[in-house]
Amino acid sequence: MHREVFKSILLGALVLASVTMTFNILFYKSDFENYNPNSTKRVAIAQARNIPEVIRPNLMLEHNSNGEFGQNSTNQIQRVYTLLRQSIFRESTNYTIGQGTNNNPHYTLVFPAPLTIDALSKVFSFDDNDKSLTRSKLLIDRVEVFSSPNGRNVNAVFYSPDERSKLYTTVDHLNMNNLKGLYVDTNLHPYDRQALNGKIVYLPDNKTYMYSEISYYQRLSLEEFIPILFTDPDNVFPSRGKTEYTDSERQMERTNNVIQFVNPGITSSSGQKQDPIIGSIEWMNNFKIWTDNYIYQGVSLKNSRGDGTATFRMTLGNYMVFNTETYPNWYLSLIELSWKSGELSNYRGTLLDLNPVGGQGRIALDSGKEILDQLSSNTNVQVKKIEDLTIGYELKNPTSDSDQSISATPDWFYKIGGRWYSVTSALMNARGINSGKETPS
Amino acid sequence: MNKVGFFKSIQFKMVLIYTLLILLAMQLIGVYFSDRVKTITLDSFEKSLESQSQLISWNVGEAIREARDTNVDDPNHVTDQIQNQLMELDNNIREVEVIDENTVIVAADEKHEDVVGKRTTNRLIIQNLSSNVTNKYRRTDHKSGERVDIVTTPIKVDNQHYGILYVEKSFESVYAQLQQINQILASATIFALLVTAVLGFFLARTITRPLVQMQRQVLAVSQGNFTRKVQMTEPDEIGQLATSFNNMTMKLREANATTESERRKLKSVLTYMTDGVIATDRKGNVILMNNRAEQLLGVYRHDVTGNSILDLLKIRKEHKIMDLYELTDSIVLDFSTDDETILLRANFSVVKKDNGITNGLIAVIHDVTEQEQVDMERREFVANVSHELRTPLTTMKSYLEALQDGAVEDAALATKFLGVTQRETERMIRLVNDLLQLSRLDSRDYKIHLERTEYVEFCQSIMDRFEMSKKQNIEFVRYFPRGSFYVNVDRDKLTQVIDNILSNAIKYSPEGGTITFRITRRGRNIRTMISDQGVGIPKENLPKIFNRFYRVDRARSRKLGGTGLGLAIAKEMIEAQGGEIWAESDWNRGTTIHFVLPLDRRDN
Ligand SMILES: Nc1ncnc2c1ncn2[C@@H]1O[C@H](COP(=O)(O)OP(=O)(O)OP(=O)(O)O)[C@@H](O)[C@H]1O
Ligand SMILES: [Mg+2]
Repeated sequence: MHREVFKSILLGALVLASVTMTFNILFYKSDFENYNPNSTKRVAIAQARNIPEVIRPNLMLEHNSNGEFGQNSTNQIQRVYTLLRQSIFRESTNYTIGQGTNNNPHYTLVFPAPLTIDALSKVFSFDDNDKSLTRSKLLIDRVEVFSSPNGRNVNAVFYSPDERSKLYTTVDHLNMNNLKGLYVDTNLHPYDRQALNGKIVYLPDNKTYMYSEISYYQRLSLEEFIPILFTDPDNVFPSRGKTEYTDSERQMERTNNVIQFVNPGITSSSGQKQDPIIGSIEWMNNFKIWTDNYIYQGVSLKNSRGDGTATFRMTLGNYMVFNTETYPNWYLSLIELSWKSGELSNYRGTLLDLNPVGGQGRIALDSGKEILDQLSSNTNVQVKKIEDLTIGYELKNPTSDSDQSISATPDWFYKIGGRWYSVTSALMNARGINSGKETPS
Repeated sequence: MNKVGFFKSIQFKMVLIYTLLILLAMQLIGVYFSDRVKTITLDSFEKSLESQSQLISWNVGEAIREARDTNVDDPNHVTDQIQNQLMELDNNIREVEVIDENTVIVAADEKHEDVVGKRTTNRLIIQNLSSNVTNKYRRTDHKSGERVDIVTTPIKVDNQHYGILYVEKSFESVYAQLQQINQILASATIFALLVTAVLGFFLARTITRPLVQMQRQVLAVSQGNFTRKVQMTEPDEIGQLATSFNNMTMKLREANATTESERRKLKSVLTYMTDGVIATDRKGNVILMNNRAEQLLGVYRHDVTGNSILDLLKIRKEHKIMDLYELTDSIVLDFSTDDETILLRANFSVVKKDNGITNGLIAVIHDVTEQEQVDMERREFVANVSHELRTPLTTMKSYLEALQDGAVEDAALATKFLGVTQRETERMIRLVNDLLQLSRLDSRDYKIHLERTEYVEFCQSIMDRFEMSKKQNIEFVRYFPRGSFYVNVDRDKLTQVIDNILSNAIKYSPEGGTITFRITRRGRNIRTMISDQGVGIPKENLPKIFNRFYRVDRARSRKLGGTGLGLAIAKEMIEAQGGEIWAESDWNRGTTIHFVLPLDRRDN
């Protein structure tokens, strides 16, 4: 009997042991040291920006019987922009609204790049009960506000860059006098309307005087982006002398002062629909990556699910900053985010954090028309292919690490095939003796 | 019964079953597990290779883009840039090639640099050259037998299709890892099997131990030992079986004890019964006989067991075995020898099985010698009586007929004849009286009036009476002891006995003979001897003279008027009074009749 009891106890112990082991296997916990995975600090490289600080116009125009007048002072533009953002736009089918039928001045704000309706409705209030607007595939980059011929209503027309597609609206909650007042207060210059390839631009009719801007800079370290760009930062390993980091699925690399991140392995198509512009700004805000002032500078949509690329360009003062060097250096003043299935598939951007200290060396830039003429007559740039033309700063990639300053030189820039080129260098190349270089196409 | 070999034991079988089941379970788990692990591992391997090659392809694309942008004129620069991207890849990658849209290998890893600039003929590359998606293939290198994972990824330069990246990575490390997992699984299986086998070995004993006990008990029971008991371990089926088994053993023991006692009873009955019993098998061969049968038949059972009963009973000539089966009457067997008469009676009964088939014979033998003799005596007695009665009646009849025929007229003759008739009648009366007396003695309903008698005096008076009435020339001699000896006797009857003995002595004594009457004390008894000097009695007839109607010489005795009943009555009477009587005789010298009577030892 003792043996039986012993046997029963043994069996019971065995069963208990196996239950414990099974439990251990099923709810496996290693005996590694404890660590708190939530201990990583919230990433904040620089700061966040409100959407209207990024999606903003960079030109205000008044069209009256004397022609086009405008200016690009950010402060002034912001005032007008704020006023308009407080208004409510209601889509109108009244096509009698039209330009030139009356002599009332038309006030226009021009964005540097076309916006989706989704993005637009983030900055302007649309009375859009029937959601017809949000379904619209229109890309808008300018809005024109004017009083109706009878003076009772305020109307607004949203234009596509080529001013062919229009969206007619009536405006509520807008005091036209306030608007007029803002325009009267500013110092407007004559502007010249030019039709480029796919876009109508307004260029200064006179010379523009600008200063080269000197700026100290600071290079962000690549490592700061690891927790932002990788889902599992602990599993990220450097290679190529810490200029490249990869978790074998994603890769982040630094070329000069440009960070390039790619996540080629996104396969799922289940991501929620999101406008790439808004999504990008929110993502940037989320991690506070806005190191300097940036302005929305374009989108390319791949499909209606929200796959696409949004671009933001650095601004200095009232002008955008460009880099026209070889390929990855473009992103010295640029941030570009590509989205695929709601996931970030590409991030290219600058690692520079500028700290402008002041201008020096006044430079006079020719009027837009002259520039176009010079380009067509002195260079073999195909002027008809120019998609955009604007004044900005050229920011060269800092080559020496010892000098922590960088200078931004004013210049005209033109855009062909989605790439910006410096007019000065085009003219210099053309003028340059034995220049065998072709103008890039 | 031998001990069951280990490999035939239930214990082993259970262990075997346990381990086989565990093996099966582990196999199923193993198959499922390793298949899943294989799928998952290969998939993840492939996935990682895919992302790796996507990264490479992106890098290649970027490199081309950068190279083109910086140094448009120098195609070698592009190749170098691409080549750069293919360096420092992990070792398991067997081959990396960048192929442009014209199937020209633009770049390859260090080991395959010799193919750069050549056209590829790889079918996988050609068929995927313009593909826009990543494609995966699992192939076996037919040369080395190595299993490889092949991924082709499109290379895009600024969203323009450039060519494809061909990456070939060996699966062998994964398979080695899988092999390792399988080995772990196998060793776990073996460990589990061992543990199960050991545990099973001990656990199976829980079941087999009561069985072994029971088996031992069965063995013991079969050898007649009922004292063992199976230990009731647990109240499960085996425990119940053990309990039932113990009950059964108990019942068996009881039944066995009953049987045994019955058998003993039967044996003692057989042994001590006065009848002989012989049992045979179906063919009539003796299988059993009791002592009495041995005794009666004068054989030893060892000698005759197995012999036919026909020979044993010496009836082979008269009967066959089949007859015995149908025999309903008993048969009498004569086993008489020269010395003695032995008559046996045999009864046969048939032993039948439950199903009615005859299984043998039982012969029951009794000794009927005595019975037959009594019968003979009775017949003789009746014949004697009839004879004794007929003789006087015949005589009387002839005399009476003679009287009827006219002799009555002759007075003298008539008187003589009537006298004879009267004498014969008296003789008959005396005969009948004797018979009556004998029958009364036989039936023992007579009454003996015992009286305390002084024996010598009693005998003197009888002798005196005889001497006074004696007609012949015979001398009576008395040897009487002095003193008085008291006996408790029925005087009339003792008188009758002594009368008879004396009259016999007188009857058979010659003229001038002497009859001696002697009384002596012998311890507690008193002995009487009456001797004559007559013809005597032949020695062989001596014991018979006390038989009824026995007469040594019938003719002479008749003439002397004897019926042969006198001594028989005397014997009965003496024995009835607690005495003993016997005769001694020498032929032609004389006869002595002795009888002994117990003394009454009360002192006056
Ligand atoms: N004294 C004797 N001498 C010789 N023979 C004797 C003697 N006494 C007895 N016998 C024998 O014994 C037999 C039996 O005797 P028993 O007295 O019984 O009969 P019985 O004398 O012939 O007839 P009963 O006495 O009846 O008249 C006699 O027939 C005789 O042969
Ligand atoms: Mg007589």
